[in-house]
Amino acid sequence: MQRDELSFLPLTEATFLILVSLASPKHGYAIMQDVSAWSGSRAKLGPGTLYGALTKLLEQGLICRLEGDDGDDRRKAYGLTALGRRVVERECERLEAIAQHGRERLNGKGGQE
Amino acid sequence: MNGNSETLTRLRWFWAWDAPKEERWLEEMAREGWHLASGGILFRFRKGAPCECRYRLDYRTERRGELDEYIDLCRQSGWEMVSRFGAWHYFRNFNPDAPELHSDPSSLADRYRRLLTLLLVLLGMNVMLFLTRPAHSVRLGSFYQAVEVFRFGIVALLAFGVIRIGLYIRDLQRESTRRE
Repeated sequence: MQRDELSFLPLTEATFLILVSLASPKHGYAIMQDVSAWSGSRAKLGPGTLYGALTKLLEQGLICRLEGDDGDDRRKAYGLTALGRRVVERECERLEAIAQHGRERLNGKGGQE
Repeated sequence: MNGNSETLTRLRWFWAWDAPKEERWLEEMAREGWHLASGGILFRFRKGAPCECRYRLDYRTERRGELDEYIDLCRQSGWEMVSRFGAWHYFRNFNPDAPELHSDPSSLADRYRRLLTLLLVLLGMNVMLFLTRPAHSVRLGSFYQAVEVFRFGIVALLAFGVIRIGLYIRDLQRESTRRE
């Protein structure tokens, strides 16, 4: 049984960044570098936390392991599943809606009774 | 051991929830030039240059292939696995700028939840054994009474461990939400 994609929202920032990074398949360490490069020192991701997140996302079916050509387990990369991709899309929509709402209020639009 | 590699052996007991204390001790030893060779209860150190480094303990229960993948990932980010003692893995990092092994304490809390589950199963089994003991065993002489006391001691110890690890998990979880 597959969970509804909306039930995964909101994502934590770390989870969001990991999923977004996997829009193109990567190995564990490449994910770490990618996330750090984007977020700077603010969201430094350690291997224990990353591996815990990857295990959880695999169980939830949001990501999958991709078969390596050499058949070595350690060289398997991770990639987004179709469900994972839909979850990221919904989260982007949610964040955009929130950002838009915030900007409108700051510019004095809407909100008056 | 031969003369040109000086070693030191120390016997020390740390509870699972005292991991931070154990890590500080290993870091202190490294500052004095004693670098962990193997840990557990009997710690072996090798003499080298004094240095600043971080030690972290990690309770890992993955199957072989996944564990190798994890250890690889740690090594790539500067966390070298120095020693293992059962499921306890000792990681060391010389780079002060490298991220924490568990940058979010909640992933460390998840590891301790695994340990808690194991202890709860053991506790349940031992409580069952203790409760289903033959009622007349009390009259069976001092040897059986000693066994009874020993079994009760195990139950008490496991219960103590469950409580302490439960509290440690709560603290880690609080630290994680505080940082958000």
